[in-house]
Amino acid sequence: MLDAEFVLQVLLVTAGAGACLAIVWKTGSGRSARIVFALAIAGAVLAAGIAFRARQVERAASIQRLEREIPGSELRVPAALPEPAGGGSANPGAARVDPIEPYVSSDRCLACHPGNYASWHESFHRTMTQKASPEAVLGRFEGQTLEAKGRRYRLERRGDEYWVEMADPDWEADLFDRGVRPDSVPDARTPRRWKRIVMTTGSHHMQTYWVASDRDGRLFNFPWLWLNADQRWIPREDGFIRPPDGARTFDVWHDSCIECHAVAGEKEHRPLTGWNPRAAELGIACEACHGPAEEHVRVNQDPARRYRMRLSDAPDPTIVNPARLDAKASSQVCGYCHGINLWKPIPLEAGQRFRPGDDLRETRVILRASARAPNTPDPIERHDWPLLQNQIARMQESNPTLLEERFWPDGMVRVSGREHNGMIESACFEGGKLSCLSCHSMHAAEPDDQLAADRRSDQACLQCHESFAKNPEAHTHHAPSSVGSRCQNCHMPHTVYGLLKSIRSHWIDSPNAQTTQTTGRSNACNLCHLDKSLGWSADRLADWYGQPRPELSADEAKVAEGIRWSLSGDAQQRAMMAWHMGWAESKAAAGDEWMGFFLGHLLDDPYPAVRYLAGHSLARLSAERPFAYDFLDEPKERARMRKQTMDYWRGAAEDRRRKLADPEARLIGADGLLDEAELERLAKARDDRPMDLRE
Amino acid sequence: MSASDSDRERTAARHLAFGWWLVVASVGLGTLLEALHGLKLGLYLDASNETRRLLWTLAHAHGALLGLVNVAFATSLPKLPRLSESGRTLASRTLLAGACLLPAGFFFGGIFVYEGDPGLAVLLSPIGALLVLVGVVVVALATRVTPRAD
Repeated sequence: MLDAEFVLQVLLVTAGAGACLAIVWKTGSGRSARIVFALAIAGAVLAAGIAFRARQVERAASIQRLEREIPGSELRVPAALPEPAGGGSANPGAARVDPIEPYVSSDRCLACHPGNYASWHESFHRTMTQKASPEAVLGRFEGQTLEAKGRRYRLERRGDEYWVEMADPDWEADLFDRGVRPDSVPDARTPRRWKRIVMTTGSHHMQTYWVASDRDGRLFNFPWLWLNADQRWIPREDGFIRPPDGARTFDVWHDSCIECHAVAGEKEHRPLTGWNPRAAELGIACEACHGPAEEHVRVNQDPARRYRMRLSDAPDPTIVNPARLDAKASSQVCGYCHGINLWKPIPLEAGQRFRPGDDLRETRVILRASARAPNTPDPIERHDWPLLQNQIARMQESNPTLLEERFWPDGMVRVSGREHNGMIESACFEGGKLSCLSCHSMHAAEPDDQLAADRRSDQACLQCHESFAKNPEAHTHHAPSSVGSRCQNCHMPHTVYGLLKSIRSHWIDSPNAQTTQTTGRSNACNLCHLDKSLGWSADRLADWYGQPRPELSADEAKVAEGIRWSLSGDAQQRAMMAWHMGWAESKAAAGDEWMGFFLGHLLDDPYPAVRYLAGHSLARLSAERPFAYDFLDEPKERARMRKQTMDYWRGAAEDRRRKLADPEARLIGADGLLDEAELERLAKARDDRPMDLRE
Repeated sequence: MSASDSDRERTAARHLAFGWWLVVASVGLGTLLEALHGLKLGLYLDASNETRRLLWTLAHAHGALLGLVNVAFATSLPKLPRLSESGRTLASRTLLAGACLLPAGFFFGGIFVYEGDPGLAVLLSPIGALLVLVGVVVVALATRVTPRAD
């Protein structure tokens, strides 16, 4: 930027000099006068250029000197923010974005890659982390007051700035550091501050916000989420499956977000100035996937080189193109963030970090919990297996539910955003062909899920498994046009939870009744056929694919899976059922007249996320009926809504369930009415173990 | 009329015709570009085709401008007595060649683009630019006014 400024200045001076010369020539002064005048102008141009350049060099040196002598001094530069009228602190800005060699930022990519820049610019990767501005902020800051768990927050918009009055986060951080839960102190006794929202996280489904510490470079979470679809605020912890009586979350941006929500995020702690997080660029930008581009930009200023590279098929060694990497390395570019990885306990050189194209396993151990993992064909992972076990055991000393928070009992990932851990368990991946880019594209896809346009259908699978294309019914036992014949519905069912919804598993496997029985993870058959029992699915899997039929309990054999998990499942199973009862494919396969009754039951679930999903599925089910339900209502109001809704749907559920072809699945007594005692029995068996999913 | 005057007139007529036809071609290209805007065609408007859009716009603008430069040269010739025959020949050839090469380089360079880089045909443009530069310098030098004897 400064170089361009330099050139511009020289051009302006030259133009002025040219005009002067023209005037002199026109007026016809003596020859010697003209020469002297021309030399003077040339000297002035040269002097101006040298002076300008020198100023640049001096300014850069001055900043470096300041930083060297007074570590962290840049944080003390007062931000140009007005003191708010209602009192408050003029906070520093968002996380520092500094030139971090050898990163150059996405701005430099635009000139040569406008198309790729534009597709990235459209993506939710770009907007994962943004400085707070009217363009970035989605939430409403219109003077409202938010209250939850004894804490009160006042929101305000001041011009292009967003402010919140809240308990002083620096004070809360001190409490937290001393092991005191900040929300254990009554709100009336907390020092309150007006803080400016400086940064945002997320933009696709939800958005959360950050305020800056007055003491150092830490950014504290404003603990509320803005839900885009609902256009409302909810307490942050209610957007996740967390124990309902748990503490308020207290998150600091550099603790974990900085790793993946920015390019080349760095955090350092200095004794005098505290935490000093910084990044090359906010959000997930070009260099997050392509690696640092300084050298690439430098060498490609040579047009001859550019054309040599353009006209050859050879990769440019100065930049990483994940599409040219082998399947494993390419997937690790995504897996660094879309995965659960542990640091390897090895001495790291200063600044050593994973960069695209590196082998992720040099610095990380990929967390795996499946039975396949010890026998992985990958020699590095086999070698690291004892190390991983050791680390898991050590971490479980402080967190016994380390694995349960992330994996189903068979090692399948159960939380969103960790697709790499799921995919690497797939036989397709072990075959060496499957990578994230087999289905996803960062530059030729809709931003919603980054699925490549021609990979939205069965084509994604048929590119390798083409033999199934000729007669899919022979394999699927469903009509070719049915959703039961869609590859993903059977092999990638929605068994992952996150972002207040169920998400497709990326461990590509096949439905298996035995697995459902041992893991509690519903299988693909029953996630569409919610009105059928596990026994029903086991029979079909035995008939169609020769799977052994497991010994099933009476409930497993008889009760519809949609009902069994809604009443007796753990928080994730209940959330999954609530979501699937709103999924068009399930409703088409299982009929939806009976669902309202059981969704009504979930309206008073202890977990806010389950209630949220049940409320949404129910609202879709009864679009014609006014349905005033708020999943954050007080327990008494929720119980009232539960009863009212179950009463309303009771008749429809009975009618529907009487017509079911599988009479064993119904909860209907001999009198033709819903068997309340049976329902009560299943509901009492609800798995109430505290669940904390680390999506 | 001397042979030299006759050549001068022929040259002027040639540049007048060439200039106006180049304006016709460039305005035609401009109309085509407007149609591409109107039809919102991705091959012209997509962000990945930004380079093509820039190059074709440059071809349109340079073609029209250089057409007018040729018209101006044609109408200026009678008023350039200091322009020698060799100078006139040089200016004429370079202006004609340059006015062809410069927009052609932009146009053809925009057909095959490599993300932010034009196709290799763009190499015609700097050659054309140099030729035009030589031509206009030759003409400009011929416009110098001789100081009056008194």
